[in-house]
Order: sequence, then structure tokens, then C-alpha cells
Amino acid sequence: MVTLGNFLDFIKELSKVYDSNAQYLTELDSPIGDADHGLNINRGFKKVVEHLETTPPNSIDKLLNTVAMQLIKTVGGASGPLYGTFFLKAGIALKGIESLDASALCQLFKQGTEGVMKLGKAQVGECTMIDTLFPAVQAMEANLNLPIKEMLAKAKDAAEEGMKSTIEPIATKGRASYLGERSQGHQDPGATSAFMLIELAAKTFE
Amino acid sequence: MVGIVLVSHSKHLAEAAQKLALQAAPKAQIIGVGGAGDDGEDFGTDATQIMAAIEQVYSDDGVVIIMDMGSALLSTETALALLGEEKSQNIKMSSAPFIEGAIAAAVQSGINADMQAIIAELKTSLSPKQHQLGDVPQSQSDPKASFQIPSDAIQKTFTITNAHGLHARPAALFVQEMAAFKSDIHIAHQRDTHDFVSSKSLTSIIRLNFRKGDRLIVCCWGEDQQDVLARIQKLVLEEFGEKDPQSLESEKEVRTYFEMDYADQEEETFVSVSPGISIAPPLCIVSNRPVFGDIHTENIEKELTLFEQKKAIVKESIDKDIKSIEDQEVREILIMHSVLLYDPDLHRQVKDNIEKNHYIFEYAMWETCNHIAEQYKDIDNSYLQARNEDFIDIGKRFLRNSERVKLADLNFRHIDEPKILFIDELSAETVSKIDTDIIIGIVLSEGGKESHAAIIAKTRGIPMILGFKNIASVQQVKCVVLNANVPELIFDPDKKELDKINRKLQVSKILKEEITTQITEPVQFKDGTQLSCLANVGALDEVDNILQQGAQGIGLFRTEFLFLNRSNPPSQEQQYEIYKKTLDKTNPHPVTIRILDIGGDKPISYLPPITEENPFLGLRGIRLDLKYKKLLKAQLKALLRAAFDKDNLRIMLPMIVDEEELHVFRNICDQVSQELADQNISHNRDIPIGVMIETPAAGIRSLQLSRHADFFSIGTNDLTQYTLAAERGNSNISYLYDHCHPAVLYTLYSICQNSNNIDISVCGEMSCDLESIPLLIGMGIRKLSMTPRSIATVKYLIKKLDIEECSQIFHQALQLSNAKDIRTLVNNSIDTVRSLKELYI
Repeated sequence: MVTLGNFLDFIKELSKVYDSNAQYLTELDSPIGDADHGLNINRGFKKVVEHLETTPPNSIDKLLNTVAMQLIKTVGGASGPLYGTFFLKAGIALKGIESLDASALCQLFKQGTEGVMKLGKAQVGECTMIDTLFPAVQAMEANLNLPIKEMLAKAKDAAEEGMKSTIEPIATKGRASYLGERSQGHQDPGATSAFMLIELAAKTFE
Repeated sequence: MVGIVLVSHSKHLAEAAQKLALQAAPKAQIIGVGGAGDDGEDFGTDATQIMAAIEQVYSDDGVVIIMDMGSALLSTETALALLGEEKSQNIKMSSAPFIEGAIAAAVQSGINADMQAIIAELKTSLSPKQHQLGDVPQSQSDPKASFQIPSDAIQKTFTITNAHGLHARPAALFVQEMAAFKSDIHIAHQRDTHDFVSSKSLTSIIRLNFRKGDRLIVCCWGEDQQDVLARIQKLVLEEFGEKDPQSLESEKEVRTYFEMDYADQEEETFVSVSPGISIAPPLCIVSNRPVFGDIHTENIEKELTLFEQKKAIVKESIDKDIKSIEDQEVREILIMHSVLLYDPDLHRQVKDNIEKNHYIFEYAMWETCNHIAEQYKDIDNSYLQARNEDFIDIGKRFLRNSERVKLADLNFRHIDEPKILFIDELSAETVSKIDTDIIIGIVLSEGGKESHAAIIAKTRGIPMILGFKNIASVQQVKCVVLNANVPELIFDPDKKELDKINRKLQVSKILKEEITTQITEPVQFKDGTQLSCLANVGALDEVDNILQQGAQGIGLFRTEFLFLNRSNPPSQEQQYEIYKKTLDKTNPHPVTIRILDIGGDKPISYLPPITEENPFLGLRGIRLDLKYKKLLKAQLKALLRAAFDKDNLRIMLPMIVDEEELHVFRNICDQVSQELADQNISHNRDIPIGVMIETPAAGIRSLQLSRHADFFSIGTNDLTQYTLAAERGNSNISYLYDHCHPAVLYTLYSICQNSNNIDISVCGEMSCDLESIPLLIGMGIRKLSMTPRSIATVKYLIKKLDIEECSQIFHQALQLSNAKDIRTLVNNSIDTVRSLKELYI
């Protein structure tokens, strides 16, 4: 079971992950985007953590909503509304739930991912964060009967495979799509940051 | 009011865009939002800020959002999600380009347009730039207006004087000002009068790309239509708020001081180019300009080949026309066209247009011809200006039978009753081919008096006027009376009016017949006094028909045609042939030949150049003849030889001021005769020598001159000009230049009194001016020399006159103080003058 406290720790930890990977993510963004993904997302999560410390939320869905609004406000680039929507929709899905079981965790990721797909009008195979998130959600749905830790481990594997799949194809959505064939051979920074999120979830939640 | 939100990655860009848009539309409800981070100084977008901005301008009328790109769209969508369904259904995101969209939307918001209108306007907001850069996507064709202009619509043309044309800011002001009116208002650029756009659409107006000097056509209908035109007039005058207020103020002061009314600046003035009266329903073709579909091509090689093929076809069709058209005038024009067709410069420009701009050859040719035509229009010479039409004509030939362009149908084969054609412009070639039983009158909005079309309409006897701008308004008219004699246009006359016009036409017809039947009869008054009507001629071929036209000799034979337009002087022999032919043909009637009469205004290449500030008061006429004696002697020898064995030659000297000049001339004449005698060349040494009275000096010295000259011929054109110190053709003082002025009449009278009974004739335009003839006869003139085609009418008038009555009228006239009153007096006194005036001469 994942409690409010677990989730709060998870977000703080995620902020650290993005902080230490900001340079890497930005480097991934340089050849195909405008070299700001790592910086933006790091700035966003720093603000999230600051905000959580001054006004701690009293439920998971409020926590998710706070994360969403802070990201929307502060990230600036496309990842702001995208990650913002992820957490916003996740929060709405979890309204009134005190602690999360496997099914609720799966719902969190599922609703969040669908929100992002709708906003970004993106499908799997277009070299975006969806390539990571979507297979992860599918893996969770297929393994709901397993304990949380194992279910998320499967999700992590699927996510990793999805992330790596963005290396080969030509991007058709997002900033990288402006590069056309030149985006080939680059791992998508959005898919990478999404993987970091799933990877951390798999490591943290049980 | 619909609110507008501008979303950008940059706070500064969003705010600047807001400012820019507000400058174009100060009343607009518009807000710019952008940037990320705490102070918004980072590049990015913040959905919460966007949401706040939307709420700031939100009303139930809705909100339109224009974003720059990328995440701005995502953030905006997120903002809409945050706002909730109820509000977001009233909000539209537009794909319009950021800046263009911002201004277009602001202007629409400012005039309180609804959501739908704003979205529609935004959809075309990129098109002005695309058109200007020739970057129109293949599939995108212009949404041309599809509205019917009602019969009570009014139309007016204005000239844009703004230094930078009607760019975004003035155009936006125009849209806002027009929104206050209830009328439907549409405007078009003169280059394409098919393309009327709504005064509400800023982007369409900008797309029309009005530059300085371009003409803007307004068509409007509704209860306040007159106010619309008045308002536009004011806007144009104030250069849409761009004119420096100080200069506007001083201009206003000047206007008030001199009581000038600028509102009538653009008032229509008809110009008659071919006389006559026609009554028929109108046939309106608002624009004879081509309408193109897609003007771009990818296959340049193919286009160049097509161009060459078409050129051959056009050449063939011109050649065919040259063979089939009888009118010499038209044939010469067509020959010129066929030469122009292979002009290497024209060819190069068309090729450039195809290769660089990827134009289809029709458009490339049309653009090039228009470009050259524009250059001709700028030339400060009315003849050359009119030549611009030749290029348009050639250009049009390339557009015929092409599926890629639409041209007005000028065949008129489907029409079975007579019509009066209303059209913007017409080629000479079309006028020459028109069936004169079908098109019995032509009204043009464009064109020059000296255009080939005008000349040909005249030779073909089709009444034609220029300068009628409001063609669209005639579409609903059922009957038009075109009186090109006045000129005047009457639309839908009532029965009474129509009867009157028909009666007039009837009378004119009878009068014309009467005039023709008496053409060769001599003119004799009741008391037995004879009067002669002679011909003025200026070319050899004009001599042929003068006797049939009723002339009783040649009163003025101008010899300038022999000397002008050549690189060396004409030989004595060449001149001899022409003089001899003229004397033979006219024998036994008199021929008065004037020796060379030119000056600095018409320089001759083989004489030293004359540079004078005022050639009309310089070395000209007899002054020049006496300076270049060799030239004069050759002409005199030819004249004396041609007159051998004949007694119908008289020699006349131009521009005489005193008898001294006459003496010098007579001496030269004696020398010439002696030289001929020395060479045993037969000639006539006994030729009457007369002087032209065309300077005030000659008029004053007429008593002295009459003692030495054998005859006088009064050149009233120059005499009027020099007496009144008023240049002929200067429109500022055209009221003054009139040979009926009492000062001129008195001068003429004193010449008659001082002439010692020597032979006097009048050879200026006065001699065929119907209102002047009774005055000339009244003062004692018995010989009139004029353009041959006027002789019949003048003869007809004179036969109706009574010498005694003319004398009375003349003496009454001398008491009056101006030409206008004198003309009224003649008109009121003599019925025949009045009825003949309705005819043309």
C-alpha cells in the first residue's frame, strides 16, 4: 500500500532524480529539441518540492493536484502542461482514496497517461513520453494480481523497452519532429524522463 | 465584445503584440500573456497565467486565442481544461499567424464583430503576405466576393495618397470607421474590379495592396450610403490619420481662404472622343481585365515552350487581322503590335517572370505588358501615354483561348438588338471589329483622348465618351441616351424626355441631309454679295477631295509637313512636284501657300538647334525663314516654277510684325526670280504675296501693311493668343482664350477698316465656329478658310444669314465686355446657329 507519506517522499526523491539528471536530459534534448527539457523539468520539480514544504497537502489527490499546478506554472516548455496534465488527471482519478493499492496505482498511471495522450494528440510510436508510459500502463494492467513491487517491476521493464524504441524511428510529434529524419538515432528526452519516473516508482513503492 | 488572448513563449513578445494590435484597434478587448518562471522572464508558457488572462477578457460573446507555437498550444489547452467545459465551449483557438492574427482579430473585436466573423477573418490573415510575396499555395484560390451589387448602389473612386499606401494601420482605421455605417460597403483595387472585398475584412483589404497613387473603388448601398462616401473622402484626404496634423491644418486654411472645395476633386468629367447620339439599353462589362486562377507552375521548361508556341499563334492571328482589316489606321497599329511581339526586351522580361517567379506564361506576359504600360503612363506626353494601351492589347492576345484565365467575352455575337457598351477599357482592335449595328455607342471608364480606340471609334462613326466610372450602377438601367456631342448620359429617360430626344434626332437627320445636298453650291447673299469658303490643308492627300467637300480653293496650304520628320531639307525638285500637283488639282481655284512656319517648339534636325525660353515669342515664322535664306530660296524657287503658266498661286508670309519683313522678302523673291531667269528655267515671277495677320503688331500696322501686301489672311488662333496674352490649351485660363473676346473682335474690325480694300480672309478656327461666323460677316469678312469637313455646315449657315442683321449683331457685340455674353447674343439672335450647334461639325 502506498500512503500519502510514501507519495510525498516519492515526489521529493523524483525531484532529486531530475536534479541529478538535468544535464543528461538536456543533452538528449540538444540535438533534436531546444535543449531545455532537463532544465525545465528540474526547475518545475524544485518548485513543487518548495511548495509542498510550505503547504503540505492532506490527501494524495490534493498532493497530485499541487504537483500538477506547480508544474504547469513553472516548467514553461511543453513538458509543463504535459506532466501537469499527467498529475492533474491522476489526481482526479484518485479523489477520496486514502492509500493506493495495485489497482489504484495502475489507475493513477492510466488516467495520467490518457490525459497526456489527449492533450498532446500523441499515439505510441511517435517518439514521445507516451512510448514509455503507455507500455508501462499496459504491463500494470496485465499484472494487477501481482504485488505492487512486482507489478511495477514489470511496468519498468516495459517502460525501458518503450524508451529505447524511440532511438530508432523518426519523430512525428513534438519538437523532435521538426528534425524529421535527423531525429533518427536519438533517444527521446521526454520518453527518458518518463522512464525515470516509472523506474523510481518501481524502486520506491511496495 | 469578443475578447482576444495572445499567447507567446515570451512575455515581452506577447505584450508587444498586444500593444501593436491596440495601436491598430484601440477599442479592442485584447490581452497578451507569455513567459514562464516566477517573474515570467523565462521563455515558455504557463497555463495558469493563460487561464487568468482568459478570465480577464471573458464574456458570453466568447474569447479567441492566438498562440505562437508548440507548447503554447498545449498550455492553452490545459488552461481550457482548467477553466471547465462551460466557459471553454465559448473559447476558440485560432491557427492564425501570431502577429497578423493579433492585428486582424483586434480590429474585428474593435468593431464588435462576432466570434464567427473573427474566426473567418483570421483564416485569411496570412493571405496578404502570401499575395505580396507571390507565395500563394497551389490549392488556395482567393475567396472572391460573391455578392450581387444592387441597382441603387453607388460607386466612387478615390486616390490613395498615403506615402506607404494602405498598410495595416490605416487599413485598420478604415475598417473601424466603416463599421459605424449601416450600408453594405465593398472596395476593390482598380487593377481588378472583379475583386470586391468587404470593408469589414482587414486582411482582404491589406491583400489588395493599395500603394500610393493607386485608385480605390468603393461600392456601397444602404440608407447612409452618401455619408459613407463623405467619410471615405475625409479619410483619404487626411491620409487615414497619417497626414501630419500641421500640414493638414495649413491645407485646410488655404482651402478655406480660397474657398476651394476639395470634396469635388474627383468629380467625374466625361470627355467626348467620337461625336453622335445613340439611344439603347446598356451592355455592362464592369471589367475587361483578365481573372487568373492559379498563376504558378512547376514545369518551367514546358512553360517556356508553351510561351513560344503561343507567340507564334498570336503572330499568326495578328497577321491575319492585318490582311483582313481595311482601316489603314488599325492596320498600322497591328503592324506595330506584330513588331512589338518580337521585341527582345519584352521577351527577356517574360522569360524572367517564368523562370524566377514560376509564373504560367499567360500571367508572365500579362505582368510584363502591364509593367511596361505603367511606365508609359508616367511619360509626360499624352500621345505616348496613350500608347500604354497597345501593350495591354498585346498582353490580352496571349490570354485568349486559355483555360487558365478568364476574359470578358467581347464577341457580342449572341446579342440581337442594339446596345450601348459600358466597359472599363477597350482595345483599338476590338473597336475596329465591333458590329456597328449592335454596338451603337461606347462609354469607357478609362482611356485617353488620343488612344487608338478613340481614333477608330471616330472613323467608324461610333459615338464614344470616356471617364464614366460608375459602370456597375448602370447594370439595372433599361435605357441609356448617350449624347457624345455634349457630352452627356441620360439613364431611363421618361417618355417626354425620350420623345424630345427622338425629335431632336429627327431634326438633326433632316438638317444633315439638307447640309449635304447644298455642299457644292456657291454662297451668295440676297444683295448679290459672294462669299467664299476655302480649305485649310496640311498634307498632299488632303488636297484630293476638297472640291467635293465644297471648298472654293485652298485658303491655307501649310508646307511644314515637307520639312518636318526628316534628316535633311527637302530638295527644290521634291517641293516643286508637290506644289505643282496641288496647283493643278485645284486649278482654276486659288491656292494660298504659306512658306515654312516653324519655331523652337518644333525643332528641325538639319537646322542649328534653337534653345529659347519662350519659343512662341522667338525665332519662328518669317524670322526663321529670313535667317536661313538657303532654305527659303529653295522653297521659293520651287513655288515660282510650279506656278509657271498658271495664275492660281498666292504666297503667304507667317508671323509678320511690320512691312520691313515684307520688303526683305520681296527682295529675295526678286533675286530668286533673277537666278531662275539666268538659268533659263521657266517660272512665274508675278505671284501675289500676302501676309498673315497673327500678331497684334501686324493688326496695329495693318494700314501700312495693306499698302505693300497683296492680301491679308488673319490667323485668329495666334492673334487671339498674342492679343489676350493667354496660351491656347492652358486650362487655368481657358475661359480667357476665346476669339469672341471683344478685344480680338475689335482688332479684327480695325484690320478690316484699315485694309484699303485688299483681299482679306480668315483662316483660324474662328472661321468654322458657328457663333463667330455671323460676327465675321458682320465686320465685313467675305472669305473663310477652314478644315474641309466643316465647309458644308458653314455654307449652310451662311446661306441663312442676312448681312444687315449680322452687321447689327456685330456692333452690338462690340459693346459687350466678354466673350461669353457675345456668344449668348449670337445664339439668341440667330436660330440656325442654335439648331446647327446640336449637330456636330
